[in-house]
Amino acid sequence: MFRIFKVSGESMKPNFKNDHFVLTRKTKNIKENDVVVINLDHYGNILKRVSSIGQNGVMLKSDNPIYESTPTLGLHEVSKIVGKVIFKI
Amino acid sequence: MNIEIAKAHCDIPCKVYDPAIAQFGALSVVRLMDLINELEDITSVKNAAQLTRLVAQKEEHAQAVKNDVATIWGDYFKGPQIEKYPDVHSLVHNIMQAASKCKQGIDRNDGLALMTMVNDFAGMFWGSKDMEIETIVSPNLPNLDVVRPKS
Repeated sequence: MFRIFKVSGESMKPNFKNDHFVLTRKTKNIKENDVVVINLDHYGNILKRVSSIGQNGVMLKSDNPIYESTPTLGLHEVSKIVGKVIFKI
Repeated sequence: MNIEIAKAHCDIPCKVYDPAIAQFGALSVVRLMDLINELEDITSVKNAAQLTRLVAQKEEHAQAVKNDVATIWGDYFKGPQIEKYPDVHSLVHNIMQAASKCKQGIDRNDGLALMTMVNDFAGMFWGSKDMEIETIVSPNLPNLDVVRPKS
């Protein structure tokens, strides 16, 4: 299943800028370094890069180095991943 | 066509901030300055290579100080914390300047000044959480004072 999202925010710069559009595909083939849209309780859909993925869940990170000191976005269920980014405009 | 929003903000309230990373960076800057100043005969290839590496590391750690302090100041310090510590803005600005000076040179006093300011920043950070602080001597060279929450 394909979905299009508009990026809002700066945390994924320089690779994904505010107002970029991303095309995602629902897939179970998620691996480290993939960029995903994940739906988190209370926060909705967010765009992040996969820092690690395993049986316990997925850890996320931002691309923008200014946010390096807030890496603990937490461990999330893989099932919450809405889709993997396969194209950006 | 309905296009949804994917947020790429970093205001997800994980609320995990710690000035220890910046303190580690400042401590490393001083240590690297010491190592650079201890180098002899930089005309030898071995020492020249070592100097290059040390300078690069000094740059990296000084930049890490800037990044981490700026992030805590920008993301964590909000109304109540700023009200309690109105000098935080000028302190952070001074840290940015001091870290840049450490990137530019190898004067140990600049590194020590940076360490002092980052400790002051750590004191404000923990103080904003109403936590008591203590000053310990870092077990790592160059054994400088480090402010941390009282255990």
